[in-house]
Amino acid sequence: MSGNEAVARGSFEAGCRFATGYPGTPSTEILENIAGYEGISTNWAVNEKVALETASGACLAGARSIVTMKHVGLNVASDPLMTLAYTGVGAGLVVVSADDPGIHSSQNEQDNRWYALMAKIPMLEPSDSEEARLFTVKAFEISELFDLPVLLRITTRISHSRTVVFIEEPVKPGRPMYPGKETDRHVMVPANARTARLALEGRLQKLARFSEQFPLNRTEKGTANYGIITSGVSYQYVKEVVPDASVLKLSLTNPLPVGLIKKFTEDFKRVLVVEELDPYMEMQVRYLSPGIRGKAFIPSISELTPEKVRDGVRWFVAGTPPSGATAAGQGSGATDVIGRPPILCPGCPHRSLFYQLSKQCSFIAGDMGCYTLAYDEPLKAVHTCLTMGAGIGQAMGIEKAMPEGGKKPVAVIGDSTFLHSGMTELLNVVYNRSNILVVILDNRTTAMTGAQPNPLSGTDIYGNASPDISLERIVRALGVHWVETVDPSETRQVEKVVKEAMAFQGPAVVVTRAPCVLLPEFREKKREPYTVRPDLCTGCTICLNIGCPSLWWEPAEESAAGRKKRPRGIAYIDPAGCTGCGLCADLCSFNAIVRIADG
Amino acid sequence: MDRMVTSTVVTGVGGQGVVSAADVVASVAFDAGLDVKKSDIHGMAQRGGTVVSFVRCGEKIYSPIVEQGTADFLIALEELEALRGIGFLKDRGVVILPNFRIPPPEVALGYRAYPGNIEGRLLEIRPGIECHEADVKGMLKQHPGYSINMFSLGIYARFLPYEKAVWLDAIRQRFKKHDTAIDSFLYGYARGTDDS
Repeated sequence: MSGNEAVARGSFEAGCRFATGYPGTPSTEILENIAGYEGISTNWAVNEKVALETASGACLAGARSIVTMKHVGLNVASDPLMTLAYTGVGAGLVVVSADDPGIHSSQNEQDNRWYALMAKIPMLEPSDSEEARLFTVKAFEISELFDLPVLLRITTRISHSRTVVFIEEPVKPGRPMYPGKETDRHVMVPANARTARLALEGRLQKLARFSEQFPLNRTEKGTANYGIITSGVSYQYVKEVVPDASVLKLSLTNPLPVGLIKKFTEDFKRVLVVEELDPYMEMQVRYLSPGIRGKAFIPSISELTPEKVRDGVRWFVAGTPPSGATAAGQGSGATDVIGRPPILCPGCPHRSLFYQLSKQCSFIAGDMGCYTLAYDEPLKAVHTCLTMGAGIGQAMGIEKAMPEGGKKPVAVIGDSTFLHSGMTELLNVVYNRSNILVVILDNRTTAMTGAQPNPLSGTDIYGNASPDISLERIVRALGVHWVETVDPSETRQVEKVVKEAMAFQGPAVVVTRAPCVLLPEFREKKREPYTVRPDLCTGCTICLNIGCPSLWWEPAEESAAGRKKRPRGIAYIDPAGCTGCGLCADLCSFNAIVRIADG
Repeated sequence: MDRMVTSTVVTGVGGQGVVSAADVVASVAFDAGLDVKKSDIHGMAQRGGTVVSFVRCGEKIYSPIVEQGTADFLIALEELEALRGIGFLKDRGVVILPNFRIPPPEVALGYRAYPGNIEGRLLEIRPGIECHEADVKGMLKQHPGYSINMFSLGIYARFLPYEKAVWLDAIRQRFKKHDTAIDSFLYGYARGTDDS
C-alpha cells in the first residue's frame, strides 16, 4: 500500500465515521481511498479551514473524524487548529498534514511539525506505510485520551511510497449522538478561553508523561559508539546507510520524550539528530547536552536522501566533510541534461486564453493549479503565484499602487481555487472599486491534483450528482456587473471578450468554460489529430507560441528525406499527442495545419 | 530465490506509464515473498514532466529511494530520461534504452537541439554498464497501439528470476484493460536477453 492508502486503511480500522479535506499533492489519495470504505461519510471541502471546522462539528456529534491536506493547506486551516486544543474535540480528531520536502509539487517546503508545537497538540510521524496505518489508529486513540486533535505528519516520501502493510480488523465505530451544549468548553469567549488554557496545560503535562512511556518511541541498540535520534522517513535512511548505529526512533514527536532523549544522550555522549527540513527536534533538545548535534551535518534544505545521511553521519563521526562521491565511489550522473518542466496538456482548451492575455495584457497575476504552467516559455502569461486566491488580491494591490494610465492588471484563477479562496478576494475588489480583470478558468474540476470534483463539477467525491451551482451567479452576487462567459476554444471570441473586458472601467470577470482534457468524458471523445503540410509550412513559428507539447520544431537538417528542405525548419505535430483542438490551425496564416484526414 | 537487495529505477515522461510499470515490478517481487518498497515522484509530472519510480526488493528493505550509483537496473521509457537517470545506475548495471524521443519544451520550441549519441554518453559516465536497446520504433511500426512501458518491462523481465506467468498475473492485476499491456509485454519478453 502507499502511505496514503495506509492512512485511509487506518482510518477505517479505527472506526472513523467522517472524513473531509481539500485536494493537494501529496495528500490527495488519502481521501479518495477513504471514500472507498463503507461507513465513513466522506466529502471534499471547498478549503482546508472549512474542512477542519466541519470535522470538529462531526467530532462533537461523536464521530471519529479525519481531515486531510497538504502542508500549505494547514496554513489555511491553522485558524481553527490553534483553538481546538483549548476546546477539546469530543470524538477523536486526526489532522493529516502531508508535507513536501524537496518541493516536488508545491510553492514551499515549510516544516509543519512546528504547528504541533504551536497549537499544543500531539504529533505522530510514521516512517513507512505500515506505520502510517498503525499511527492513524493510534492517533485516534491519543486524540480521545487527551481530548486534543492529533497531527499526523507525513511527507511525500511516505505518501507516495508503497511498502508492505499488515491490515487489522476495524473496531466498531462510535454511535451517532446529538451534541450536548457544553458552552463553557466550546464557546471561546475570553473568560472561557482563559480557563481552557489552564486546563490544556494539565493535559499537556499528562501527555508529556505519556510520550516518555509511548512504546513506539523506541531505542534500537547498535554497536557504534555514537547515537542517532531520528523520525519519519529519515529513520529508513539511517538504517540503510549506518546499520551499526544505535538509534532512538521517535514516533510521537510532540511532545518530545525529553527524559528518554536525555538518557539516550547520557548513554552515547555523542548524538546526531537526523531529521528532514528544520531542526525541529534538535532545537528542543540541544540544551540537554553539548554532545547533541544535527543541522551542522545534515542539510536543512530539500528532501533527505540516503547519500545525504551517509555524508552527514560520516562527517559527524570522522570529521571528514562530504566529498561528493557516491556510495559506489562513482561520480553522480549526467549534468546539463535539458530540463523537462511540466507544461499545459496538449489540447488544454484554456491555452488560447493565455495566448490572448499574453498579446493584449501587461501584468497577469496567477494562482495555484495547472494555470501556473502558463508562466514559462513561450506563453509567459502568468507573472505571480503565491497562494490559493492570492492573484486577485495582488492584481488589486497593483492597480491601487500603479501609476495612472497603466494597463489594467489581470488575475487568472481556476474554478476550484476561486471557490477555495477567491470569492472573498473578489468581494474585496468590488467593495474597494478596483479596476481589474479577473479571468476564472473553469475546467469543471480540480485538475492539477488529478481531477477531484468541486462544487462546480456537478458531482461529489462518490460521483453522485451534486446541486447545480452557477459560477456566474456567485460572481454577480459578489457585486460584479461586467461578467462574460466564453468557450476558450472559440479563439476569435476569446480575443474579442478580453478586449472588451480590458476596455471596461471597473471590475470585470471573464469565465472561460471548457472541461479539462483529462476528464473521462473528454478522453472518450473521438480525436481527429492535425498534421503539418510541409509544402505549405513556411517555418514562421507562430504556432509554437501557444506552447503545445505535441507541436514541435523540426530543424531543417533533421527533416525527413523527401521533404522540401527549408532554410530553418518547419513545425511538426505528434499524432499520438494531438487532441485535435485546432488552436494551432486557427493561428496558421498559411493553412499549413490541417486535419490528418484532410491532409 | 535471490534475497539480495535489487534496485530498479524506472524513468520517463508523464503519461508514459512509469508508475504503473514500477507497480508491476513491485508486485512481482512481493508475490515472490520479498520485502518491497516502491517510491514515485509524480506530483505535477502528469503534465509532461519527468517521472521517476524506484523499486527496491530483498530480504529487508529500509530506504524507499535508490542511492546514486547503486541501481541494478534502469528502465528508461524515453531516451533523454535515460541520460537524466544514469547517475542512479551502478557500474555493471543494466540500462534499457529505447530509441524513442519526446522533445522537452526547449527542444520543441527550437531553442536547443535534442542531444545526440545518448548511448555513448551513458557509457562515458558508467563504462561498465550493459546497454540494452529497446527498439520502440520497430515495435510501433508493427503494432502502433502497443505500450512502451510494458514492452520495456518485457525486456527487463528476462534479466530477473521470475516465471513469465508471474509477470502476466501482475499485469492483469494492475490494468483493468490488460490485453494490449500483455501483448506489449510479450513482444518485449520475446526480444529480451535470455541469460538463464
